[in-house]
Amino acid sequence: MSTPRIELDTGSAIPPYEQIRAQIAGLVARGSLGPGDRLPTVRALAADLGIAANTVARGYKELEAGGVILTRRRLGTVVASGATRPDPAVMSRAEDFARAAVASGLDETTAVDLVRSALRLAQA
Amino acid sequence: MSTVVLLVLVVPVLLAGLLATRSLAARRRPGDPETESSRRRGAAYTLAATALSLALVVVLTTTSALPLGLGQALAPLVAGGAMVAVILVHEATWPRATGPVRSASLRRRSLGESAPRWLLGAGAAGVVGLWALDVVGILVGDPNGRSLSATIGEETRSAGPFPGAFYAVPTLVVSLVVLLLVGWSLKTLADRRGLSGDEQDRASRQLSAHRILRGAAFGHLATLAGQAVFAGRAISSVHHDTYAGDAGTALAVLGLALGLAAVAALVIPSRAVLGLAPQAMRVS
Repeated sequence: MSTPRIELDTGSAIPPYEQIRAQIAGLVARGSLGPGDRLPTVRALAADLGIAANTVARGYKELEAGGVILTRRRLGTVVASGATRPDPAVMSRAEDFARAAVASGLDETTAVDLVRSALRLAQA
Repeated sequence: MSTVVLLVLVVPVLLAGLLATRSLAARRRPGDPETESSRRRGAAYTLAATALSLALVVVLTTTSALPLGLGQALAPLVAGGAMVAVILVHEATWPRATGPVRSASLRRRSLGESAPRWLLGAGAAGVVGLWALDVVGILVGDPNGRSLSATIGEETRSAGPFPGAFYAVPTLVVSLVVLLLVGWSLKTLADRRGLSGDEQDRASRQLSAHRILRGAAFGHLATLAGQAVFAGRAISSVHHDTYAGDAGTALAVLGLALGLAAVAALVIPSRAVLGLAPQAMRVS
């Protein structure tokens, strides 16, 4: 099984720390990263992506606050055992939406804005 | 004596340099630009490490910068440390990721994962052996730190040079510096940017770890070899009519074997191959 990868688009309107957070959260949600899987050190991931270590640290902090990952003294940063995995039907619909958004030429920011807007309507 | 020491140290370092030169030829082989660049950089830094080590060996063995053979005693360890330091610069100045879209693997890299086990073992054996010999040398050597004496019956015998405090203390200090450099280099290697392909990234890290460890292993094993030969000679001279004298001779012979091991640690190339498989060439 190949190692999961993340991508950083420096031209995107989405802040780099949020891109890191969202992609790692997505990999955990899809099961590409499982409980106990070790993540790279902040410094190593920052070097790979060519960004400041603080930016990666902020992404990790947000993930930790969301219960997706946790930092242990000896093991470093690992995927939390209680990380939530969404309903497969919801995941499947999210993937359908993503495909439709790409097919219609929507950029990432607009697509995410649409989802946020739909979520607000659903919660209202 | 200094000519012998010079030759014993220069030949293996030159051999390592020749192997590095061979790796320069590899840059003409086709491969993706990132891998080619990594290979060229690695070979250039290996040559720089060889040149700096040779210069230090020549200075320490042919000038009287350090008294009473101390320069010759420290030359292999200083040369090995210089190799490690140059590779540390290589890793610390690794090119940053560029381009609008950048990719990173989420594989966690550990400190020693790229290190070849045999070289790690050889280096560790060299460190343990050197520290043990030097500590014993400090304890049993004469107060001047350069000779060994024993009173047998009514006769007091003395022989030197012997790795007492005069040679052992500076050796241990330099060894500590080299070990710190190795730890710093391996940490820098684990944290530096990866190549885009997992296989190529792994190979480039294995090559770098090999370059770091071979300098340290050579330095420690060669220093241990030299000190074992001199300690063995001094012991067999002082105790020539007892079993301790035989032990001294055995120690001197072991020193020669350790010298061969030091040369092997320096010249045996890494098994990691950087580049496309059909055109790949082994890089030292």
